[in-house]
Amino acid sequence: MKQLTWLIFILYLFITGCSTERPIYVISSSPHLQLPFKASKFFGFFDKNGINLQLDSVENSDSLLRFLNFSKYSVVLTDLKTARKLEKLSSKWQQICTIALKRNKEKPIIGEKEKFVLLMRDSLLKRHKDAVKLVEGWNYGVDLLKDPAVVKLLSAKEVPYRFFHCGK
Amino acid sequence: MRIDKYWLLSAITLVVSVLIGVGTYLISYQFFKDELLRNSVKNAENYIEVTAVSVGSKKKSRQLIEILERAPYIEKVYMTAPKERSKFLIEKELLFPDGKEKVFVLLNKNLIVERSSESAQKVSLIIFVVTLILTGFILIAVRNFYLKPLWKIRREIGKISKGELSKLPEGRTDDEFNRIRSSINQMIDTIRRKTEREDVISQFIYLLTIGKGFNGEFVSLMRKVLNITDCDGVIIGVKEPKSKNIQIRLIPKNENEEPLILNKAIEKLQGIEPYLLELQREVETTKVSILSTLEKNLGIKYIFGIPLTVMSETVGFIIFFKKETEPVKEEVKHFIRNIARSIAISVEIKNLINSLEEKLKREKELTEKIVKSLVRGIEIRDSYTKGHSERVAFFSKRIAEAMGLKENEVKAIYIAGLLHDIGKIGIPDSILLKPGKLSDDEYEIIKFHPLLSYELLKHIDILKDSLPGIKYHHERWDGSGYPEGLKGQEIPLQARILAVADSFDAMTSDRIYRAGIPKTQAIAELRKLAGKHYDPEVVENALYILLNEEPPPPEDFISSEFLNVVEERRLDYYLRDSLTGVFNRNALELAYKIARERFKEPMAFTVDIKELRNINVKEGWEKGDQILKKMVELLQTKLKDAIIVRYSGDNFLIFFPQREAVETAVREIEKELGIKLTFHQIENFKDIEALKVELTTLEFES
Repeated sequence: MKQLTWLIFILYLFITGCSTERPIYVISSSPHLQLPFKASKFFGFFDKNGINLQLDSVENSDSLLRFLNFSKYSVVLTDLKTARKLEKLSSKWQQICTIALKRNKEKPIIGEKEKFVLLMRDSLLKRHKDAVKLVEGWNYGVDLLKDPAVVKLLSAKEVPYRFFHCGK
Repeated sequence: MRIDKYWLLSAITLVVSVLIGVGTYLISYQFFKDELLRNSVKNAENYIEVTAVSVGSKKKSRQLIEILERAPYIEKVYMTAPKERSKFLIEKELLFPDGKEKVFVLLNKNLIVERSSESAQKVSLIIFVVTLILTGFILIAVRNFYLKPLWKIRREIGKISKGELSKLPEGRTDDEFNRIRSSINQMIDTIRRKTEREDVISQFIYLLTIGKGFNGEFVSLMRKVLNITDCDGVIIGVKEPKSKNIQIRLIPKNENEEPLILNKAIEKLQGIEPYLLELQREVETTKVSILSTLEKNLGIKYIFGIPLTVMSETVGFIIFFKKETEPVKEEVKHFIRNIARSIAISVEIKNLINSLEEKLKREKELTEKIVKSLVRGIEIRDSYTKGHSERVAFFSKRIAEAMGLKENEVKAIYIAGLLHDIGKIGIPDSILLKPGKLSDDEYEIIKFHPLLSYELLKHIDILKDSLPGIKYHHERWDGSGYPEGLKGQEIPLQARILAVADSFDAMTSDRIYRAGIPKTQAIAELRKLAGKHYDPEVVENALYILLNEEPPPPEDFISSEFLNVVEERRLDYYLRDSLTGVFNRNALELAYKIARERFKEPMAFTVDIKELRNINVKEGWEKGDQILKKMVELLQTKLKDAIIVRYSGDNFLIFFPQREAVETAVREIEKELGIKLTFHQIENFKDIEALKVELTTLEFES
């Protein structure tokens, strides 16, 4: 009986040891939009919370929509116009919050192209805990980017966006 | 090859391996089918996604379908939903910048099933082979590591049973088989100890019951017990039967120390010994203060004493002692109790045997005395038989021994010899005591005596074996004997032996009217009559004994002086004239024999009183008797040593060697008594028969 207990315990360790965390793939229409996530990742927020965050970016909105055929992507960072189009094409995607505005000194009125939002696929929304942690990670990254040293560390150029906390 | 559990296990293992193989096939087939479907779906989805990304426009749907349908696991791609739905059908919504498109991809079901089956077969075969190999290894391991050592143990146990091995060899490792060997060896030791103890107990019983008592062997055995029990010595007290004493033996364990034997009065016992005898209880103590001086001097520190009790009677005690205070184990106590019980029973049995032997001895003596009393009975009646019966018994016994008869047969013959003439009790004195030859009628009466003997003794159980000899000892080999005229082997051997011994003693013994013949002559007679009267084989065996051996003198069972007086009185009564005291007519032959022996040339005379009848009539019987008495007195005075026989009322026969002396005496008596006497010399008396004829003639003439 004692030996059986040990055997079961070893099997449990083996099975749990083999299990890996499921990655969350994020795609954005601009690489700069990912900076808050990068900052949080750099400072180990996601590792600490058991989230394997993978970041991809494309050149434009059209490419973004094509690449969204890859079902691995569950988070999209894009402008409001593309976001609305995406919501119209597929009911699986949900706009969550506004995350950034394009810095434009010459043009004070902000259009759909200058406002950026975060969308989540319904499959991620069902993983409520991961979704919340992801948003927290975004917010943490936004806070980190308030430090110019962090910005400088992650991007040599000036960031063309003003990032916001998601949900505020 | 024997079909044992191992082979049964092997067969079960093979069956289980096959079942595992089949089970593995079924399970893995299902698993692979699901897994392949899942992978196909996933691959198809990925492929669709990649293709969709690379096509990049809704307008290029046709191109998209063509690309997708080239994949091997995709059977068909639909742009509209087909009617039939299945798990092999994938529905995918594709996003393009110019709109969205829905595609329905049907996977290649046959391919998935076929591959699943192939994979399942391979896996199940591998699992089966692996299981078989592994179980085979397990079975070989079981055989080598468990069964072989067990078989070896079994073989070695067999050798122990045959006596080729005393114990199982034990290795140095502490594995389970060595522990089993160790346990079996312990069991063997226990059984041996038990057997040894049982042997000791049975040896005690044997030693004590066969009458060896508490001898050297007993001491050795008791020392063995002391070694087994780890005691330093033992004190054994056994009550002496019919006595108030007890015999005490102290046996020390050390063989260099001699056992001590004491004989004590029971009332003078000290220490715990009287307690054991009186209260009949076990005593186990380390209290030195209650021990006797002797026990204290021995340095005893611990004792375990048990009374020797049989059927609530205490026959003694046994005390095992140690010179240290450590008590004996309970197992040892049990052993000691058994020994005590065995010794007690043995002592009691020995006492009973002794008592029985004594009783048997007394009964044997009583039987012998009864037999001898019977013999004396006939000896009292017939003086001739005095010592005859014992001599015949002696010779018969010796002849029987020489012929190799069994002990009980020899004993029966001896008793038959003693009692063979007992029937003579029933023969009248006139025949028995007759000093001369018997008439035919008398002889016919004498012939009854074997039957009388038989009838007299036939109801006595202890004499039953001797009856054939008693009844038929006068039978003769040629059938001329009596009572039944048996012949040869018809005559019981006992009787044939008795006949030889009886005849020999009759021939060699003196009789009143003749002397016994010498042994050699008697033996010659026996040899002559062997095959006629006597069994030749018996005669042959008897000759040496009869010639060379002398029977022991007969015991004086009755005072010989008293017997002589009785014998004399009886003879007087029978042979002498009660009035005159001289021989009567019955003793004629005896008187003749004496005269022949006493005188060199004897002469015989008759003297008759004339007219004694007239005197009796005229002067009375008393006068007549006086004359008769006086005349005899005068004859005896005047003719010293003369042998006088009153052979009828007034007729006397005188044996004397001088005629003149007799004649003178007769004339003088005539004068003295005033009577007339007739004197006549008998010329012809060459033998007794001639004398009788002469006397009869004279009697008739007068």
